[in-house]
Amino acid sequence: MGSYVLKRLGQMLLILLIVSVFSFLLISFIPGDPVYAILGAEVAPEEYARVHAELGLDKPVIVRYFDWLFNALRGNFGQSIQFHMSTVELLADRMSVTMYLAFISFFVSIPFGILFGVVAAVKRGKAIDTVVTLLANVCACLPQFWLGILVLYVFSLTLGLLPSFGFVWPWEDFWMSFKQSLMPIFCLSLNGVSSIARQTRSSMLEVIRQDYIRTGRSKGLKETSLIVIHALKNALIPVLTLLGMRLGVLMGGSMFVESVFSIPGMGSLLVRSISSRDIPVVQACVLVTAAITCLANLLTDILYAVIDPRIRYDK
Amino acid sequence: MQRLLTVKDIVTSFKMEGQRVRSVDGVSFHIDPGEIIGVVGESGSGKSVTMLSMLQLISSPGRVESGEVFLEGVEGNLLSAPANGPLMREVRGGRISMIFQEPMTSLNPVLTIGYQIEENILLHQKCSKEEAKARTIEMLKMVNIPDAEERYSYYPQQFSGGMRQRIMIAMAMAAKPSVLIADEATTALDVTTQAQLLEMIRDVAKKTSTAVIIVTHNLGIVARFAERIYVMYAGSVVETTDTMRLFKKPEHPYTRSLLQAIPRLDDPKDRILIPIDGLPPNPATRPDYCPFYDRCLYHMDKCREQKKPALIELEEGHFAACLLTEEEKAQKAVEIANRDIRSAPQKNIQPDNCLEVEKIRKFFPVFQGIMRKKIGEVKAIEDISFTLRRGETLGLVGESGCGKTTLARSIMRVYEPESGQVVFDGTDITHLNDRQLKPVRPKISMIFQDPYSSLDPRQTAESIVGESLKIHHLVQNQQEYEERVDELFRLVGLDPGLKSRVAHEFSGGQRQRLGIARALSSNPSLIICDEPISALDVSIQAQIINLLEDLQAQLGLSYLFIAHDLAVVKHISDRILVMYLGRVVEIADCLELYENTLHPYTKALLSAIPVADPAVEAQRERVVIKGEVPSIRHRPTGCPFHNRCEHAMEICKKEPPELIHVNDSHQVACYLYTQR
Amino acid sequence: MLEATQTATIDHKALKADSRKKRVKQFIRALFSRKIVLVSAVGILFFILVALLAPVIAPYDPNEAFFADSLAQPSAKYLLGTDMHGRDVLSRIIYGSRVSLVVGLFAVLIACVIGTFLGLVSGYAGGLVDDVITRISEAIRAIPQVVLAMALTAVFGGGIVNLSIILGISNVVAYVRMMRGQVLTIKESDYVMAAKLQGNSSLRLMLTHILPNSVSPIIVLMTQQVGATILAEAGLSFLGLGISAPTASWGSIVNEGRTYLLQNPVYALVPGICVAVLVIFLNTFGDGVRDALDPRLRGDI
Repeated sequence: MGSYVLKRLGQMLLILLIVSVFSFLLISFIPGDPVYAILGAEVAPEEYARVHAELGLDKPVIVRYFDWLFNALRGNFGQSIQFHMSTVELLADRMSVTMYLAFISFFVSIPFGILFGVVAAVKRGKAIDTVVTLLANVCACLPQFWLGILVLYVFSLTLGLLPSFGFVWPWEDFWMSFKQSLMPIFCLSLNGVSSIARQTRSSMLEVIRQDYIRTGRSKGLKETSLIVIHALKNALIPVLTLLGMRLGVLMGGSMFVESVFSIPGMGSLLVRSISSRDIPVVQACVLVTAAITCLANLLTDILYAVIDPRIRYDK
Repeated sequence: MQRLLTVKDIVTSFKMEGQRVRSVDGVSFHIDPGEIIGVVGESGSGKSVTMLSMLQLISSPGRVESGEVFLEGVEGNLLSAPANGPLMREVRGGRISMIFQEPMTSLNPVLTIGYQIEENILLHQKCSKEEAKARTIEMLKMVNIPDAEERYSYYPQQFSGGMRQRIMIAMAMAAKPSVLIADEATTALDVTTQAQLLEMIRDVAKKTSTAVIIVTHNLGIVARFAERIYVMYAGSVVETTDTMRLFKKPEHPYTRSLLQAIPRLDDPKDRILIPIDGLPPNPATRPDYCPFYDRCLYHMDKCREQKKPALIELEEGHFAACLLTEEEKAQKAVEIANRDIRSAPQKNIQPDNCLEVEKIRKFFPVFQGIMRKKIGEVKAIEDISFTLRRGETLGLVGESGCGKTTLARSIMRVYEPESGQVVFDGTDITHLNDRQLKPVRPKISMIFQDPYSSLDPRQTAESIVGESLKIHHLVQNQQEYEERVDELFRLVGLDPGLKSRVAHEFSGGQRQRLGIARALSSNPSLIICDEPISALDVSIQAQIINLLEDLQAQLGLSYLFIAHDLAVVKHISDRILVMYLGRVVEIADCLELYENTLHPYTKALLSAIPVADPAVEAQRERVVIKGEVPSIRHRPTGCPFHNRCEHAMEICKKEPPELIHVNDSHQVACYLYTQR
Repeated sequence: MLEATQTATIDHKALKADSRKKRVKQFIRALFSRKIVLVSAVGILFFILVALLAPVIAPYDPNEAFFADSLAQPSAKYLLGTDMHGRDVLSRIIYGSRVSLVVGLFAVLIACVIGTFLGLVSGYAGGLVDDVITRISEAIRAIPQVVLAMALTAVFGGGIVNLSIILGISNVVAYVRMMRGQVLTIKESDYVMAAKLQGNSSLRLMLTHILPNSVSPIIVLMTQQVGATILAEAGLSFLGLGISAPTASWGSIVNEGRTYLLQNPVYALVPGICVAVLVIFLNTFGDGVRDALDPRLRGDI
């Protein structure tokens, strides 16, 4: 078990190393002089010199990569060009907002998704199954930005029930924070609920077909205990994989909701940095989201080993 | 008289492509306390579905249409009780328990085995958790699970297949049921394990006077273990009587044909198998008349004109579902005996060797960690030596994991042996590279076990058979190619008109014929047959065995015939090589091996195989071996068999014994014969 | 004699074609046996027709600005109203279907070709090549797809061609993984072993036995990814990182329209509905293809 975690940790570091090469090379791929690309053609010479030195463009690529990597490892991603402040501080500020929303919607979508999935699978072919499956399929296809605009139009602009933009922390103004985050969390969760429900349903149906369920039934078990004790634990294993990926998707897909509801999170920061070619911020965002995704996968793997004895005892 | 269990006229149908198809069509049987009955039939005969229907375990798209089930002590017809109501739940597991075929998938992988057994006890017995746990451990000990207290909290995947099936038995017996159904419970296991388990089921059942229903396709098993037998065909019982009478005086043409089609361990060497032609009927298109009509050697016009015959009592306790009278059958039997003039194919064994294998070894490295450091080796096969003469068949037997497949692949040069020599037709091919092997490849062919996975699902039959003709330029032009492909089709008894079909449009037997045609296409001199019939139904097996024998006589082929079914191996082979955990333990001429068995393992192996004749079975000597085949990774030092051998001596633990000649036609690797 | 065999050959070829035709027919029957699949196929066809016939059916030039009528409400003249430059929203939506379909299709094609090739090589060659390809795929998978696509647009810029390439690249990994898994499974199968023993070369083995047997799952993956790609394109365009003005794309119309939600809600909401409906049709159709091609993968629509 310990060696298994260590092994996965090693693989994760290797992956992050490759991601770091990739995100560093981004800057070298930009056609033409990156300084002009960043600042535009009409730039004051002293400004040009400052950015040129900041990017370390006078050194060869390899040296620059290792300089950048060592700085990054020490928590220094350089200065944000648009905000003129440390990238790390900027990111820490923005990331906490995104993570706050992501985690809430992550934990909101799990129970609903699993519940709907199990109900649909158990009532297979009945009306409730048709409704759940249909809704789940439709919700998975709704563009998140459009969904945001729709609820914004209905609940803020037409009904005037909820504020249409902004973000405050709950400890600053709980009621305001609650009202502000209602719509973003709904938009972020809907997709998760539908994909978790779909996965739960299909893996439940798969498990119900298995021989050991027939064994359980031939023992005289009640259907409810068969579902809860024998089927669900097995069916949740593939759902866990999905959950691991969900966290990455939530972190990496936050820009739409943040853009619609003007929330100062990492997603909107990334969009803005790309538009203004603020490369150090883009690099840091890519690396941080990759690290979070990897960490989520690692957690999934460990949870796997806890829930599935087949992995635990596999040498 | 009040029976323990009476089943009357069960009809179960499945919805297939819009229509309801009866897969069980009016089956009745009964069983008394402590009795062991056998239900035999080929796959699709409806034997398992009958059992599941009885317990109302058939799920959609299946449905039990009608029938009655009466169980002693339960009021009324079980089938009229709600499927998941309290009565059925009490009966299942509490009164009637079931063991299923697949030990690997029948236990829940995320629950401990202790929990799963205990659950059964708590459901049906009024007792506390502690008592249930005590009983669970007692049950585990009863089925010979070592360290039962510790293993109580193990998960199923920490056990081997044989062990898991023991756990299934413990679970099924835990709530003291009055009927135990073993549905092909040992089919997936090795023969020695199979014998151990069935004997254990019998002993436990007799001790607790539990009635047992053994459901199987293996006539030998019912001959050895059952007291009364039901023979099923196409969803109906066609014959039933006590075991002695069934084998001595089978009445239904199907039972008769079946007994003539299967090879037996005690057969004389020149026994001719008479295959049952055709295929079992597809339930969707089954006729109204006798379903065996098309394949029946005895059929008369009246069989076609009347409805499906019901079971008729011929003498007391002997029923058969056949319209023919005793006289008509006797008359037909004479006709058939005169008509059937297939003689044993002429063998033509040349003195020169087609294949010489000299002390080959194949080890597989074991890696560990991220850096894939080599930490050891699995010695898959070690010091294997034998020769195969031109035109000869060498049978290769051994239980799973003994290295049969590794040996075959080393000879085919899929693997390169670590040491030793493989000499084919006088050429040393041990270390040839792919390019050098190209001229050798067409001369050695292979027939695979699974006729489904061994044919490319996207290739047409023609291209499967003809591919190597093009690769090795064995034909000059398209016309020659077409002619040769047609010839190959006819050679294996397939209609060349079918050659534009793809593999899944053929039946299992036909697919295996395609596989044989492919193997023959390059004019090989050696064919390695890797369990070529074990995936086929018993009535089809004889067709393929006969085909292989005829081809050998016709084309002078040499066969290396790998199988775990010793009866088949004995039938087809001239000499037999027995392997155990990667080593040869005995090589001998076929008859010599059976009449003068030397190695303790071979003795146990032969003894484990049931013969489809209760009279013979009653007289056979039993050699029981303890334990299970260990994994090849944990092969004991010295003689690999010493830890299970009752004759084991000090020296057996130290050095593996050499293979020595006992006489001209018999070699054995055992200290019992060198230390004398 | 010669003639006779020749006709036999021809007959045989006809038979082969016949049996292929039969299989195609069977597939089509299985595919459309469920009405919902038929409905979505018709729906997709509708969108394709709209895209092809855009110049004919669109009432106005999508880029023609009627400044006098800017931000007009829906009316008989402008069915869905006009945008802030006075361009007809309906015409822009009709033209926007072109972007969605073209980007969706090309991105998937690019991903499929590159991914299948890399997966085939990786699975078949094994060893170092496999290690390198697998590690890099894992690294790319670690970056959320939208973030990856956004980072790439930062470098390459937007536009239909670039967007197709970028979304293609960010989807490659799915095909690599799928194909690699397929190759590893098929490579171990008895029929590949049989083909190898018959003396097939590695290249022939890959092209005639392994590749054809991996086609079904690849097709299934492709049909399922067209919808996802269209969603991604709409998302990027919405963020202003995809299709740049003045080309009309559904995502960018939503982005422009959301400022004027109060004046003309239709302007922002209708293009989003188009995206959702098209994606629902595509996914349903994809599920239908999956079920018809391979009953083992069967799920439920």
